Amino acid sequence: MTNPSPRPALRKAPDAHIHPALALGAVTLIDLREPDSAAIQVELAVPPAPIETNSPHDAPADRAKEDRKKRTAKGAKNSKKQKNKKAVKAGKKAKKKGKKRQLADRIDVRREIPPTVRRQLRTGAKARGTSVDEVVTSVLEGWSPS
Amino acid sequence: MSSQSPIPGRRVIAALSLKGGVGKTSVVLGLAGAAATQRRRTLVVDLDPQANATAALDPREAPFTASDVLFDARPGIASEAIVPSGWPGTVSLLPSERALEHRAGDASPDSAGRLRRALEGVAEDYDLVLIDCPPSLGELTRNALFAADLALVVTEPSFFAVAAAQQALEAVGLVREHGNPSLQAGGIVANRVRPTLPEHVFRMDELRAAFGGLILGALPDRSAVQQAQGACVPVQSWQSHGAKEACLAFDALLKRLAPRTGSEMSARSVTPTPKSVEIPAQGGAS
Repeated sequence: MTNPSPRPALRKAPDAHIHPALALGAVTLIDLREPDSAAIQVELAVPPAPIETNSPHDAPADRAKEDRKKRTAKGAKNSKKQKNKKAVKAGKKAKKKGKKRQLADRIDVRREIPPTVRRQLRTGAKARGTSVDEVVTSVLEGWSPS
Repeated sequence: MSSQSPIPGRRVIAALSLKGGVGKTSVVLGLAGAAATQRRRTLVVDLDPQANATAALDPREAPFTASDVLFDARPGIASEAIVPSGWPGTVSLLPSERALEHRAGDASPDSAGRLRRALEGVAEDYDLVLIDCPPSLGELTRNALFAADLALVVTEPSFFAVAAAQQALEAVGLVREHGNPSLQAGGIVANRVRPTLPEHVFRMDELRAAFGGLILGALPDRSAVQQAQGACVPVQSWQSHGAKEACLAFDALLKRLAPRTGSEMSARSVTPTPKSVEIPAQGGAS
């Protein structure tokens, strides 16, 4: 006679931390509580695409000023130079910041998973226009008991 | 009050309405308070993602909620999420959270039976289980109706609410036909009734004409009900004239819906409760 195996305790649902108001899309997530089942369908929230807001420079009055400047050859040259300088500076800063943040926020987790799951992850992530890392992070956040 | 006789042996009651703001949560809390004064072991299942019943019942902690229970849906798993309420007495709570809204989208052929499975062997531990439904007839309400043996339709004396009560009753009939044959329409209760308002008198007459014996009565509109909820205490412990009137109405409603069985009475020493009164047909509650 064998005793029944202990029943796993109740866990938080993987979408418990996702606000219902966020846009939802069906995606395949791995249920880490059930090692036998490869994957289950749950709803994963994808933050809505940022809405482009009108910057103050888009105001008609500002646009008219810029147009007037561009009409003269000197003005056009100067404004182009300034824009290029600003863009280069901003790009360098963003690169530095991005690298620092990436190093600080992300760590590498090595786990062995079946190739089918990996394939599902890749296709699922591609379909959602996100990365595998993002999907895995979302799953782990949902699974985490804390 | 109609002449319909009380239905004995009923334990799991779902309070539902298609329309929001009619006071489903207030009725559930009032009934839970009334049951608690009789020392009946009561479980409130908050199936509304707004989690108002959870807030009013003020549990010390709620690590798991109905959302987690419905996601898991193993037989009897609800027992792991049930917590004692902050109210004095014997009221327990299966709490809710806003993420419960996700479960409303998990519709599949057998998804409506998740709550019933999760409550297997758990509901038996209580004398009364009250399910507070969200203001819709969607997946969460279907789960409530599959788990319940009695459906209580809450309405108010207004044009929209009367129409919504009809639709709620139709939903009860459908669930009874397709999945839960033991479900019965317990009746309709009109909440927040002011007999001095001509519109309320007209709508109450309309309700009686449309539903006849299904009308269980009218609950008077008393500010004490909201005040008690705001203080996270049962209206039964609120000290005011209006609170007493509300308590009498809730006692009468509970008596209609889930009369105490002989075993319940003999098992526990009972604290004296206010004498139940008939809810007047057209008010009487000032």
